[in-house]
Amino acid sequence: MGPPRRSYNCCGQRWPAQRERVGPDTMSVRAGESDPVSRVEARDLSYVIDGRAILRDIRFHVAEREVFAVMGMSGSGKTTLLRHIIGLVRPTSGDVLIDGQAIGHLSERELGGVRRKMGMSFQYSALFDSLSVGDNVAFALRHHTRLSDDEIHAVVSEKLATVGMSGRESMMPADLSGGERKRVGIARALALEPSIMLYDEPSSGLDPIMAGVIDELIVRLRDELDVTSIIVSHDVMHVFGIADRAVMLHEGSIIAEGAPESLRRSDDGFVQQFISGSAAGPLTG
Amino acid sequence: MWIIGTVGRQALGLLSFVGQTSRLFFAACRYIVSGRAGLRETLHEMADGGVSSLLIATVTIVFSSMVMSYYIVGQSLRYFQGGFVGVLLGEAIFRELAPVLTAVVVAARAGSAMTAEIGSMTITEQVDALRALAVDPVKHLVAPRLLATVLVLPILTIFSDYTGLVGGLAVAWHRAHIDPQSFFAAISANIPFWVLARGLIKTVVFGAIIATVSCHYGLRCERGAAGLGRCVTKAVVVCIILIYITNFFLTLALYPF
Repeated sequence: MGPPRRSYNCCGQRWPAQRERVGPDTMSVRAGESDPVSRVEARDLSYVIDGRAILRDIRFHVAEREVFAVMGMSGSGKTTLLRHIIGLVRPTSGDVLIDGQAIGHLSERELGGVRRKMGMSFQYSALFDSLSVGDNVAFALRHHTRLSDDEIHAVVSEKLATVGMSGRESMMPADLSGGERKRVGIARALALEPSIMLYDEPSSGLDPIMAGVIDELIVRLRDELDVTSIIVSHDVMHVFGIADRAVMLHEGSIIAEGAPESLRRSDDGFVQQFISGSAAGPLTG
Repeated sequence: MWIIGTVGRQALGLLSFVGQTSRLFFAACRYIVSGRAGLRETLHEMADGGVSSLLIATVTIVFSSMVMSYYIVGQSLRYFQGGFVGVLLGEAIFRELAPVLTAVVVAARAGSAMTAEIGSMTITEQVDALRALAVDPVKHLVAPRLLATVLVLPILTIFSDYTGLVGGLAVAWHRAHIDPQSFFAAISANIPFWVLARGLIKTVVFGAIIATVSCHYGLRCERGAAGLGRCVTKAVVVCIILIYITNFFLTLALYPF
């Protein structure tokens, strides 16, 4: 798991109490105070494919136990950024650091060690369709642990119960609805009890009650198990309800960063149009 | 100038294909040699690929042998006695017909299924999910299929050898009243075991080609139904072309005159 638990302020960040805001959209420590522990950091991350810049000079860090959200319109690069964080895509320039270790140039074998402390919930669940629900959740346990079948079964039951899918172990993914598959995908990502969780649109396809269950789960994981979460979402209400900090992407660049409240008060036209959801504005030209 | 550009691009594409498939093959071999290929997955692939190809392989080889036997019997009766029908047919089946036709059938049936399955997993991010769960797709998907195909193809070929001879015998008996006893006696007296064995060695190479190429295209499948269709078609076509090209060089190496 990650570094040992430290004392936290109301937002769950390992910041000193006398934190000073530099501006409405940024947060920074006062000079002389130590930087918070970064679990995930993007350093001048850029990704260009077929001459098109998908990500441009992305810079952010995510502290331990933080719920960090990446927002933006469809096609702004959010999912691509998440895929860089777990090493599914290599950056064109810059790097991603996980617990201080740069991962952009690690081999697949070396990335395996990093990925074992991370879990990822995919936007369309990405369940293994030839395996049952139970076997999907047990997959990582069978490959990376020496737990007995009974122990694995107990963990699988616990994880499925966490996402409200108890008793569905023998069902196949094709028999589930989109929202149910999403929940099983989250349970599978949680099987190895990762200290860093990545969520790609965790509430899309879910009814409001189940979306609330997932939101509570993300917060509970932070509070009880010190899990650091990075959420990609275009659902502003969902993000503002649970995120400690958020960034907004537009055409591959970060155009705003800060706590939800500071983003809500931002006078940036792009940010305000996105938050308000209006059709007319600078985002839509 | 555009010809040079086109030829250059094709050459680079070919080099890239050779490099990528070689890397995939050796990566899968590392898992197989170290015993980490996954026994359950390998047995599943052997059952799936072997059983599913059995009927079509049998039909293909039986009728091909019957046609071959028809021509051989006709020539034998015209120029010499029918006593060499079994030997000629046996040589043709053991050296070429059974190994090559069985491999082509397996490439079309099992190879296409491999490409389609892995391609569909690629498109639906299941391969990415494997990597995110710190499981190497080469270990979980490619190595079992490579091992299974390399083991199953020789077994299918032995079956094809026998059913091919039976089909050829049927035509020989019908056309020239060649009895089964003399037919098989001539084969066992005149065809040494190494002729059959070297035909089986060919199938090991063919099996490696089928699994590696099929998995390669599956892992590089483009999104959408059209993308999946294209990668399956490409995989089968490339497999068959490589089987025939490789067969020529293997024949020169294994059956020198």
